[in-house]
Amino acid sequence: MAPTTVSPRTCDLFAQEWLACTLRTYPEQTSRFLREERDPFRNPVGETLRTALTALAGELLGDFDRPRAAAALEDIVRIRAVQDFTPAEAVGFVLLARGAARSVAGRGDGGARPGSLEALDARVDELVLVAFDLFARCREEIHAIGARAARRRVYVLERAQGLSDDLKAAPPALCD
Amino acid sequence: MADQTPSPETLTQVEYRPRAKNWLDPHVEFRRGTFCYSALPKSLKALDLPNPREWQPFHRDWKLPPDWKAIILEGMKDRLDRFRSFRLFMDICVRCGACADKCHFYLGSGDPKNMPVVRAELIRSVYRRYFTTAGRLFGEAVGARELTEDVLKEWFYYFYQCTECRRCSVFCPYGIDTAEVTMIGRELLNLVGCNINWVLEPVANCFRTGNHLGVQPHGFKDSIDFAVDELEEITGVRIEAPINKKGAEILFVVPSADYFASPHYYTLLGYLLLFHEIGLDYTFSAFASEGGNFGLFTSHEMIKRLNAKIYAEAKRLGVKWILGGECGHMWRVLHQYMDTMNGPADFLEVPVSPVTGTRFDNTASTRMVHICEFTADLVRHNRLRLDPTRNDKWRVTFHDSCNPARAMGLLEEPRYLIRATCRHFHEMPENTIREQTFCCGSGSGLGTDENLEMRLRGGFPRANAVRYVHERHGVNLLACICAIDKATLPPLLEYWVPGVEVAGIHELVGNALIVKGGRERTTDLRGDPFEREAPAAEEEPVHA
Repeated sequence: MAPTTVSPRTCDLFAQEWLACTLRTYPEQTSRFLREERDPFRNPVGETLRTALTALAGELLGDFDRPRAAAALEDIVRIRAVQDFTPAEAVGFVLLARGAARSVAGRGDGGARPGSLEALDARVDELVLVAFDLFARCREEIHAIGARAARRRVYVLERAQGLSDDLKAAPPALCD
Repeated sequence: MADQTPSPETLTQVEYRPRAKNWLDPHVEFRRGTFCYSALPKSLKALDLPNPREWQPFHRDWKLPPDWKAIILEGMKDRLDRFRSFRLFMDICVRCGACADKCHFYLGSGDPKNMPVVRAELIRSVYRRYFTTAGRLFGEAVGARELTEDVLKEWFYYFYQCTECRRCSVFCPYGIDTAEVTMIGRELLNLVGCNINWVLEPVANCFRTGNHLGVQPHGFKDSIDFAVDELEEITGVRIEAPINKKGAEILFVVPSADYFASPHYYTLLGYLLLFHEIGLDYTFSAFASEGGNFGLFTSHEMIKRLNAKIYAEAKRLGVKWILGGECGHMWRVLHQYMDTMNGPADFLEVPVSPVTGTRFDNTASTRMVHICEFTADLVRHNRLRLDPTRNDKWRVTFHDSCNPARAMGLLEEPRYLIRATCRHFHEMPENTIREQTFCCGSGSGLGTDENLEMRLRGGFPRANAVRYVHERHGVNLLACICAIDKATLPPLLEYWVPGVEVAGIHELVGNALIVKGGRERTTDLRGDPFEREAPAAEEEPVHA
C-alpha cells in the first residue's frame, strides 16, 4: 500500500470499508439510515462522514497533505465532539482505518506490499493525535460559545452601563 | 485466586460497536450538556404547581410524590377524555416511518429514540398498557410497558429534547402532530413536579411582571428609552415610543428579548424607526411586555393564564387592534390558541392599516397582525423609501422560524421584505426551508446553557444548510423572525459556520429605511459603517 502505487479502486474500497466501520459506532437503526440516505441535507451526518472519510482515505494512501487531512478530520470530529460519545469513542474512528486497510489488503491477490501497512499505521497514529487536538479545541470552544451567549442575553444592560462590547470577537479558527 | 488483570492483547480488543438495545428499555444516562436543569422550587410555588423541591435529573432520587403513578395515569385519562387529538395520536399511528428521519435531533444525534415515531411510542406504550385491552393482556408483546420511575425519567429526557417544531408532522400521512404528544408528555410530567428551570422561571416571571425576564415597568421604560437615545445618535431623529398610552390605535407586543438581548435589540430599533416614519399611533404595554409564552411548553392552562394579559391590556388601553413583533412560538399561541382560550376579542376591531387602508381579514378572529404582514403591506403600497444598498455588506439567507412558517404559513412576507431591503439574497436548499424548515434546535424552552451540547446536535441540520450557502454564495447573515432563533442561532453558527451573523428582518428594514428629517446616515443600526458596493447618491431607492 505504498502511497504512489495504490489504485483509485483500492482507495475507494478502503474509504468504503472505513466508512462502514465508522457507521457501526452508531446504533444499528441509525447506521442504516446514515449509510443509505444520500441527500446531504436530509442526512448531514452520514454525508459528512462519507465525504470526509473519502478525502482522508485519499490522504492516507496518497500525498498525506496535513492541512487538507486536518480540515477533513475537523468536519467529522466537530460532529462527534457533540454526539453521545466518550472522548475516546469520538476520535477512535480514526483507528478504525487500520482494520479497514487490512481488510481491503486481505482481499487482494498478493496482499499488501511489505512495510506498507506499517507506513499507513504511522500516518493513522499521526491523524489520531490531530483528532485528539481538534476534539479538545471543539470542547473548549463550546464553553467559550456558552459564555458569549450568556452575555448576549444582557446586551442592552451592558451597553446601558457602558461596559465594553467585545461580543463581536470571532471565535478562533481550529485549523490554521 | 486467578489474576484478573487483562492482558495487553485483551486491552487492545476494543468493541466499537454499541450494544444492541431494545427500545422498550427505558434507561437513560443524564450526561451533563445534554439535558436541562430542574425548575427551582420558588418558581413552582409562584405558580401553585405541585411538588416544589430541590432535585436534579442526574440524582437517583427524584423525590416524586408517593402516589406519582396514580397521578400520571389519572392525568393521562383526563387528557384522553378532554383532547380528542391526543386519543387519536395514541391510536392511529401505523409506524410507517415517514417521520422517522425528519427530526433534527435524530439527524444530529443519531439516537433512535429521537425518531418522532419512537418518541411518541414512549408514551403510547404506557397508554397501551393501561388503556387498551390488548396492552393489558399481552404487555410487551404488543409494545405495552409498565409505568415505572425509569419510564418517567425517559419521558423527561426525551420530551425535553423535542423542540415542538412540528417538522415531523408535515410528513405524517395521518397528520399526527408529535409536538402535541410532547406537550401532553410535559403536562403529565408537570403533574408530579418534573419540569425545567429554563421554562418555569420565565413562566413565573411572566405571571408576576408580564415578561420572561421579570423586568418591571420602570426597567422596561429604561430599555425603551435607551433605544430611543441610540436611535437619535444613529439617525439624528428624536422619536417617541409611547408606553401604556391609553386610547392609542394599536397595541404593539414584542418578545422581551427585543429590548434586552443581542441581536434582537437591533430589530427593536428597526420597529421604532419604522413606526416613527409612518407616524403610527401605537403603544407598548409595560404589562403585556412579552409576546412569548412559555406556557406553551408547560400546559394548556398555563398558556391561557399568560396569554390573557394581552387582551386584558388591549381592553384596558382601549386600542383598536394589536400588532405583534418578530417572535416564533408567540405566533403559534396567538394564531392557534388565543382566540379559543381568551377570546372572543369582540371589543377590538378587525385590523386596518392606518397607512394603506388594507384590512387584515386573515386576523378577523384574533385581531392581531404580524409585523411582517404589516410592513410588507407598506412596501407593497410604496409607502416606504428604502435604500437596499445600505445592506450591501450582507449576503443574506432566510431561516423560516418553525412556528411562523408551519403554524401560521408566514412564508412570503419575510422574503418580500428581504428582497426589498437587500440586494443579495440566497435561499438555502429547498428541503430545508419553508414548511420543511429545520429547527434551530433550541426552541420550546431548551435554549439553556447547560443543554448546549444537545442544542448543537439538534441544530446541526440547520447549520449544515447555512454552511452550504455560506460556502457557495458567501452568505454572511442569517435573517429570521423569532426571538429564540436570534438567541440560539448565533452560538450554533459560531460552532458550525463561523462568519455568519444573525439578524431580524426589521433590522434590515431599519437599515434601509430613509427617514424624513435627521442627518445623512453613515452607519447601520449596529453602528457599523455602511459598505455600499456602488455609490448610492445617484441611485433611486428601489421602493420610493
